[in-house]
Amino acid sequence: MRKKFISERLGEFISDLFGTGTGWLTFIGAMILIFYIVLAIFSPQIAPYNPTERVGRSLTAPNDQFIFGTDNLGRDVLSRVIYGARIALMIAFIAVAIAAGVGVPLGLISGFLGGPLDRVLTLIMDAIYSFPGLILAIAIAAVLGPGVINIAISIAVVYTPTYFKVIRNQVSSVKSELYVEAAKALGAKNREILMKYIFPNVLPSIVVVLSMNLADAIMTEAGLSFLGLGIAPPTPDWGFDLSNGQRFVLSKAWWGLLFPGIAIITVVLGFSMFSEGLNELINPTIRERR
Amino acid sequence: MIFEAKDLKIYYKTKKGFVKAVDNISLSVEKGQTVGLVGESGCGKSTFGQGILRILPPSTFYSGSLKIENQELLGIPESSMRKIRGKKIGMIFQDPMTSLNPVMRIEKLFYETLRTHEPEITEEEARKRTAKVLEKVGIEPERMREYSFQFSGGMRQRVMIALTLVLNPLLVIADEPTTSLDVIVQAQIMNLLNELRKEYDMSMILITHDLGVVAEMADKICVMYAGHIVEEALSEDLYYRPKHPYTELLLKSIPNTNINDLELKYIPGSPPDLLNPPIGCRFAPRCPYKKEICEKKVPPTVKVDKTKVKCWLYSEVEQ
Amino acid sequence: MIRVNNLKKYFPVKRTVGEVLLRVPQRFVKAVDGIDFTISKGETFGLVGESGSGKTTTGRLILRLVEPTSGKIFFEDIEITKLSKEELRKFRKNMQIIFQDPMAALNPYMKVGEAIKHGLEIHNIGDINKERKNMVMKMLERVNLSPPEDFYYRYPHELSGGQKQRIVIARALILKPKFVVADEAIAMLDVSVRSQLLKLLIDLKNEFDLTFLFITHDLATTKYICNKIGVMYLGKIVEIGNFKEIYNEPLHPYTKALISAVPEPDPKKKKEKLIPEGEVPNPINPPSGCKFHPRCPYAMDVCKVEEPSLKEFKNRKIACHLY
Repeated sequence: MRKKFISERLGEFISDLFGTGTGWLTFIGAMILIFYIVLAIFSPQIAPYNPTERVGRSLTAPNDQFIFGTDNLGRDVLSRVIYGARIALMIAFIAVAIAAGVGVPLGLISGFLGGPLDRVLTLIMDAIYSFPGLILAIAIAAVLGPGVINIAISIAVVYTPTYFKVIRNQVSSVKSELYVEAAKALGAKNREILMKYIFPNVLPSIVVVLSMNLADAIMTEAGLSFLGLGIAPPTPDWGFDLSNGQRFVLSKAWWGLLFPGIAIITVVLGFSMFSEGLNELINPTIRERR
Repeated sequence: MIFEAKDLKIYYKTKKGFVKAVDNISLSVEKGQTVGLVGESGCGKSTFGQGILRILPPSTFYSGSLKIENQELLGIPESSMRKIRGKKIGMIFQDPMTSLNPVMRIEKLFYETLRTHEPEITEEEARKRTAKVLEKVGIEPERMREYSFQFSGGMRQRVMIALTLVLNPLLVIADEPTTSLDVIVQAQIMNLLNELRKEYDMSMILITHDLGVVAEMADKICVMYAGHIVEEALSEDLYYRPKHPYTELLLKSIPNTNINDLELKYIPGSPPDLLNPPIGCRFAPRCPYKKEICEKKVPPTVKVDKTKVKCWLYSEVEQ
Repeated sequence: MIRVNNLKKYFPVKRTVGEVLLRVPQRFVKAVDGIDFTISKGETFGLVGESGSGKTTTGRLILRLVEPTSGKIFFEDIEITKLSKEELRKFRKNMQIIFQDPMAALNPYMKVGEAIKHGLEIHNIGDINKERKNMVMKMLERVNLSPPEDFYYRYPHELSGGQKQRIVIARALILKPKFVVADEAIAMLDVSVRSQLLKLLIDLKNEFDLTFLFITHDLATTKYICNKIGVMYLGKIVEIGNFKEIYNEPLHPYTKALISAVPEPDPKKKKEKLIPEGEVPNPINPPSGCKFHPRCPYAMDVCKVEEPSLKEFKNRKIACHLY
């Protein structure tokens, strides 16, 4: 028998760890995410140059000194992409935290209590939901003005209904499960039923929506700054760099567009793969069937 | 002989390893014969039924031999298998709600089924044959314009039976055909199956967990335990002269209709995990007559009178 | 101990938009339509019927898991139907239920030990967590799940059907209730496991001095546990009385049918079966008169028009024009 490659052994180990094909997906997704999170946290240590300073000639093609080239103001594209991860992830995490923080409790209460409160909340959330996401975010961002928190809030408003709807629908179906009736028969209080019996059963879907939502939030953030509604320049930002870069594509400076673009695509892909795999791994009943 | 399974093994793959759901099973069905396959959930009886039609997940491992009218089924390609399903071997499932397509009218359901095997058939001809077979199962032919959800549970099971019979298969596999029905409807369906099998000279494998159900119908009964057939006997022999300890205890644990017999008997313990079944006889851990050899070696199947039994108690008798 | 007076539960049938516009009157499914019975202390009352007979709804009504449309339920001298929500919640430790489907009755994200312990926490039984845990361990052992440490920390999906049902039984009985509703508690289990659990229920009944409402569709199992039975058909009790007498000599044609439909494992006893035609009719549109008349082999003209009431006959009560 031939000797196994290291990558093969690593693969087997990971495969054992997760046991399934989707495990791979999750693993690759997680790797991408860890990579970007490390970039974001340690950008001052990793980036070769200051991202907001002129360090070379304008529009230098990728070379040994500037691996990703420089932009029209002579700033290092690689450094900007690295620092860009910081802004993108920070805004995405804050936005998602706000959206979940508002949407999840409202969804829980609305689904559990039902009645008039549920109808009013559902109507409001549906109204927000029916707007095209980016347009709504643009409108709110325009009103609130630039700034990390403001951008995060505009994105959060767009996604709050997603949490609300997912949780509300789940709760109203879990509510009619036999184990909830069993808890009622034991004499449990409503609060206990909600926290001990219903919440754990909707938690997996919250986690999955959360990670999928992060991908969306990053795209929306990039969209906003692409349109000039994001963080004020010169702060490095993928969306802004993308719009800046595309102005010079005609002068054959493709690198200003390509690298921020790749960054957005891979990070979104990473989140998607991770959440997809998570969806199956987190659910004990699905796990059991394998 | 219409159907024969020989040394059949069906293992399916899980994360933890192979589940030996059917392990070295041999079973044959003569023309016009009804064979009851009895066992508790997880003994492999449904896997056996589905394995014959090869409708198990693709990663399932098969070995041994499966013959319908001397045609070997194991190893033939999926395209040939499709011609066998329905036409040569029909299947009646437990839950008629999920096994009938709810968006098709009954007549369309029959037409599509017939057309799969007889591509030239006209709608007119299909309707005629549908009407005839529906009448046989006690449904007014006019109702073929309706959808399956408009039928009650028992009626739906009748449709399912008609849908199986319309192709006039050589062998019918009925997998718990009455389990999801109420007692009275259950009795109605069993009566119907009993009449039909005489009329069509049907060969059938009746899979069920309820010894009461098979006793009323089957000529021969096979008792399955943890992937093995532990006893194969004529219905009367099985009831009056059970050989295998499992059969004996199982019979005792069924509540009978005698009101004065109030002693409740049961088999202690639970069936083994088929991922790692016991090395010897699979019933040994629960068996009251267990001997040393039982835990070491799988007993051979021996013939005692007219009964075939897989138990060490009888192998010694032979020696 | 339990007294039920003229208990009714009508579920409204959803109307379509067209029906609302056309002012079609609201229709009801009369799931339970005026039933009376009493269960004495220590007795086991078997409620028998097919699906759609209202037997499960009756069980839930008595525990007020479903609010009755009208009627009264007494538990000893307390009128359950009059208790406020908070009073009822506290009262629940006296009456418990064992469900049919043990998988669905257990929270998949709660360790089974915790599930049993939760009842103790709700009703403040036991002082400290350690004491409660000990009580759970003892209960686990009592329902033959030993060693209990092996089971306490498991999740429901790691247990077999029979083991899960033992957990459900333990959860109900750890509160030391006086009255237990067993709703088809062993119907979903395998034959050999079924008898094991029936044995366990009988033992526990004697040990805990329980009063049982045993809801089932299977007449054969009632003989081991029931003193008294009531046969239900489409929301009404058609025959009620001492178990042995009814079983030996069923009088109502529906009771006769139910008894003769029990599958018989003895091939020589291929008995002449009295199986009525057809199935339980749609409860939205029940037949006129006696609800069983379209399927009844003895139906007379009067049966189509007049609904029979429950009358005393031969030491029991029966709703049939024949008697």
